[in-house]
Amino acid sequence: MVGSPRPGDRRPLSDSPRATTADPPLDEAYDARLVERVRNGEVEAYGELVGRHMRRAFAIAFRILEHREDAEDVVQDAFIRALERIDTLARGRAFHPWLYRIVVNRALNVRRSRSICRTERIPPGTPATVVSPDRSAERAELRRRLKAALDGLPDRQRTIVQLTELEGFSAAEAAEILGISSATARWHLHQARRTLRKALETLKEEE
Amino acid sequence: MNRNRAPDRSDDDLRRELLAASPAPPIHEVDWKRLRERVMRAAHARRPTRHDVAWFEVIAGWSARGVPIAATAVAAAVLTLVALPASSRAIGDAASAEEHVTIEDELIAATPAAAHPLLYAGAEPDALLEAALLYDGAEP
Repeated sequence: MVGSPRPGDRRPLSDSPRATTADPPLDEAYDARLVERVRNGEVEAYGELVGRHMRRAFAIAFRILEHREDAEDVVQDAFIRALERIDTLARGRAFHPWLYRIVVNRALNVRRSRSICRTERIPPGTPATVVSPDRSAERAELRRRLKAALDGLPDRQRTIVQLTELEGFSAAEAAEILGISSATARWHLHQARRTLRKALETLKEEE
Repeated sequence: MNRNRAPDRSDDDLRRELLAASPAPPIHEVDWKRLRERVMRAAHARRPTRHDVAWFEVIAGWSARGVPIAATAVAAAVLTLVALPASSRAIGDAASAEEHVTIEDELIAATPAAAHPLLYAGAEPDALLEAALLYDGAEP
């Protein structure tokens, strides 16, 4: 279950003003009833669970893959995988972090398998390759390089950043989705922020 | 690492830049109805419905009882098939042996040894029969 919020944790996605989806508000008790119906053989109840979580699941998959069709495929695979293993979901445990963990794992597998060539690390002090007099072009270059720095993070750090900074999950929720302790998630988040902040400062100095 | 550090301005700045640098999920481009149908089609293909479960449970129940019964029946049939030729042979032998039993053989079997010489003496059948029936153990 999601731990109590700590300083530095953000509001859960359902309350987040930056939530990118239009899924219904999270209601763990209602989800639990649906899960029980699915366990009793009511596949139709699963349709409701799909409807309640597919947008957030898609948003998470898309953050990792940045490809719409791949993200849709991952969402479908993850829901089927979750259905096949729904009997293994411990009673009293929330459905959505469990589902999102499947989504994250499958999306990371797809990402690794297609060997995205976006893992370049930016050595400190490397000058920008393109220096444009146009301010917007400079901003675009800065963001491109910041994005490259994000993509260059280790999988776990990058995923935590995507879940927290981009999708609005708290560090505790991200920890639950990734199956790690809250403290470990916060440590990874801290490391990732430090790396990205350093990259951002370097890039801004170059501007 | 200060775990209790509140988000500072540089965190907000970083977040803003990351959001600007990362493509937003195109949630308005996705056909959600179609995606849901895709998921549910696959779900129906993989997970039995309640009706299917009931049907399956009936089959499973029958299987639980039927498999041991069928196994026993098969074992019995095999044993019967294996044992049948042997017993048939034994019965046949006994029957063919019975077919060759003569009245003399029966008399020999039923008659005390002392009367045997009489049986082998080439006597007439009636006399032989009478001698056998009336024999009281005394020497003739």
